[in-house]
Amino acid sequence: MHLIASDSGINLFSDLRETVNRWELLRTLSVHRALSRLRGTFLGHVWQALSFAVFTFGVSLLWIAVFKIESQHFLPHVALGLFIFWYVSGAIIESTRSITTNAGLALQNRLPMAFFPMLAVGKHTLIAAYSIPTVVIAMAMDMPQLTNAAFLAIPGLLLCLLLTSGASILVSYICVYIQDLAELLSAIMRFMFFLTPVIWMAEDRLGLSVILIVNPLHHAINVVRGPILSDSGVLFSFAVMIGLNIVCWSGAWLAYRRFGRKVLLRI
Amino acid sequence: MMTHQAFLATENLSLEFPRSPAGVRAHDSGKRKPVLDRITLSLKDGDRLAVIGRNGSGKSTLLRTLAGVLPPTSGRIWSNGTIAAILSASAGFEKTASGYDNIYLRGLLLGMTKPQIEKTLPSIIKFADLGQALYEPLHTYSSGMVIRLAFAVCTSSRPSILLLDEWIGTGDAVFVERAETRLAGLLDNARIMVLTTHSAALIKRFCNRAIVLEGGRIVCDGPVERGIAFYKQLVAATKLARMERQKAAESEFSV
Repeated sequence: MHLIASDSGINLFSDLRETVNRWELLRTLSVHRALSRLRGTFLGHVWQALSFAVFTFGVSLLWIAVFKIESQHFLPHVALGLFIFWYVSGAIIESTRSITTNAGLALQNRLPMAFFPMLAVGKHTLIAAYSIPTVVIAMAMDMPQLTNAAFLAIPGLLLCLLLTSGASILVSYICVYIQDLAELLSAIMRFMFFLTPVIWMAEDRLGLSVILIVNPLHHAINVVRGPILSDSGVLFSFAVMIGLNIVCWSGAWLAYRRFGRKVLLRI
Repeated sequence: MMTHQAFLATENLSLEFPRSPAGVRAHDSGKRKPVLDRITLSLKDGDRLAVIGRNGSGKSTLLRTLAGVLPPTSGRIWSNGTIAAILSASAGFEKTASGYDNIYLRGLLLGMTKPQIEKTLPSIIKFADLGQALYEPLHTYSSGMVIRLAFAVCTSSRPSILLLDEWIGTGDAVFVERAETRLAGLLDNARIMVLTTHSAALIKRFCNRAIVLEGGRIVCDGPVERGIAFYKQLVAATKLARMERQKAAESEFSV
């Protein structure tokens, strides 16, 4: 005999295990939601890769021409920066509304609570995967001298993925209770694009070092791009990312323990 | 073959919605009214329970809580056996996906695996009877077509505990007749069923016990005939009270 519902909170990690058990549903829905808007277009899935490519190459060439940027590896710098920035910010912003926009699903089916933010993460992981060819082409066009330290980009990418998942789960809960936070986060993320060295080089703007230190998105980018392009402050960014992961996952664990499925009574 | 005894029980189950930040719910008073109020139920193998009650009495909320979707504010729910809840026709369908793709989506939502869905696919397609529309996006379907598809998928799983909401009784006469036949087949496999409906015919055909909910509380629990009779009295009393209130208001206005 199993206890299927009570007024107590839920364990985030057993909820995540349940989410993994619904992997087939998560994958099918994520793929559908990422690609459904392209149904009926002539180029289909190619658009997903093309829109990232057009923006990356367009903005890089424009910046080089307008601001006379002479820095080496500007193209891979922009491509890698955009790749991480769009992935992290896109998944987190979509997660803020992931429970309320899926209210129909959530109130009619017994799905684990982490399923909804992970749906947003899954969708944006697929969208990011379509951007990989552009990143590879950008790096091939302006190939940096790779060292052994470049392998650090792999754990960096894993830390990024982990942070995106933890932050998405946390904000999905908080934003049901504080709905204004979803709008605030969305507005902040737009502004953060200009505060983060995606289309500008951090080395050229030393006066902004404080902003870079407190900017989590800079560290998320730096743990992936830094090892590949031999940027500075990579180890510090790794330390910050580990700290941010601990904060986000602890916050998510506490939110699940405190509110459990009660969050559904608010939507 | 299942060897365990199916079981579904609640103990002092209560649920109240919190006041939303915008104050949408319970805006007329500071008090929060319970939607479910100390519900204690025990269902075992062979029980076919009808949940009857007026609109807003808590029938659908009870079903959602039994399914483990909504958490109780207090109390516990215990179960033994796989639970499938068919609560809504359209929930879980993606409007931009084809009917064919939605069969997989809805099946996965019900906890079925892809091989299980593939095995039942021919019978789902046959029952849904959508023709070539099966490969068109769902937003091009009429509501009747959506209900046919939803019903076909939902009734293809074989749970030991089945929770059905009242949308089962919707649709045209031909559909209802076909749906009832399919439902009878489904019930042969289910050990326990809970059905919310206003249809006395459905209750008499499929249930062997009835509870009447009023204001979130069980006000009658017994055989179906007793439950239906109690519900009819309740509706008649409500009508009478409304007429008296109207009369009183009219006489006050004329004075």
